[in-house]
Amino acid sequence: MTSRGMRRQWAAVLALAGAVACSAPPEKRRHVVTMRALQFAPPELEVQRGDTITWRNDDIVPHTSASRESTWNSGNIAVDSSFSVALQRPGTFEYDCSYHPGMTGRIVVR
Amino acid sequence: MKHASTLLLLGAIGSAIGRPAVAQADLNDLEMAHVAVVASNIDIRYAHLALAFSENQAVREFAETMIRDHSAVNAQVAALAKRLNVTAQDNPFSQKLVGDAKAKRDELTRLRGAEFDRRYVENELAYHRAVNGVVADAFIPNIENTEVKKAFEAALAIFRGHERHAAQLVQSVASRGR
Repeated sequence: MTSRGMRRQWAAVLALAGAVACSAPPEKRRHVVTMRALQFAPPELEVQRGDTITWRNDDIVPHTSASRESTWNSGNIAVDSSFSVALQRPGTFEYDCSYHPGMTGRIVVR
Repeated sequence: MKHASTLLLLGAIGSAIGRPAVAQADLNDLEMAHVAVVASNIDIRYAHLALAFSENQAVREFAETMIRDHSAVNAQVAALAKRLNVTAQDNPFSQKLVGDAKAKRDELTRLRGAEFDRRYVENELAYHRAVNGVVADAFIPNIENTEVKKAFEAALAIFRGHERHAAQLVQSVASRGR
């Protein structure tokens, strides 16, 4: 094969590799929301579809994480325990601790 | 060892639960811890009364949170005491709190319906306000052990949330009664 022919072959291979890379789904990430002093931290979190969000109870009392649209509901999250969910639908999700009025958060799914 | 001046403490909590202050006393860290546990146990007992006598869903949910949270805080105090190899010390002020709270429970026990709800949430607001003030102003500044101080600070954040919650309930129960 001539050198021009080999260059064309490599160009085709590189173009194909680039196309595959662009079309591959983004890597799923894990995010953590901590609960301490009756607050969610961070209070607002932006994630990609399919990312996993973990609420970790670092407080001294139990909490919950319950979305207002009933998309998820952790039930009781005991001290030093956690709850995880992967959100597949884009949108903005407001949520609360069912035990403590005013303890609120927001997840934005892109 | 620093001691918390309890004149403020006795006046604040004593007024909140309807009794005058008595003789001044000094409290050390272990006595303050005992007062904190007793104060939580008192609120747990008030909450059990609410679950027995109230049919108001918001009041019942508040009471369940009081039981859940104060039990958790007391468990943390017990775990800390075990880790430090110490025992919270009973003291005359803890004993007075217990006695005065009994009088309040006797008053609440005679009430039913909306009147019970109103008196219960009003007492919760006054009680938490008084206890939080004492913890913030008399206890925390005088605690010497770092771990004990951190435990009290964490508990105060929770109890201030209870105070806000009780204040909301006072408003909503009052509006329902009109």
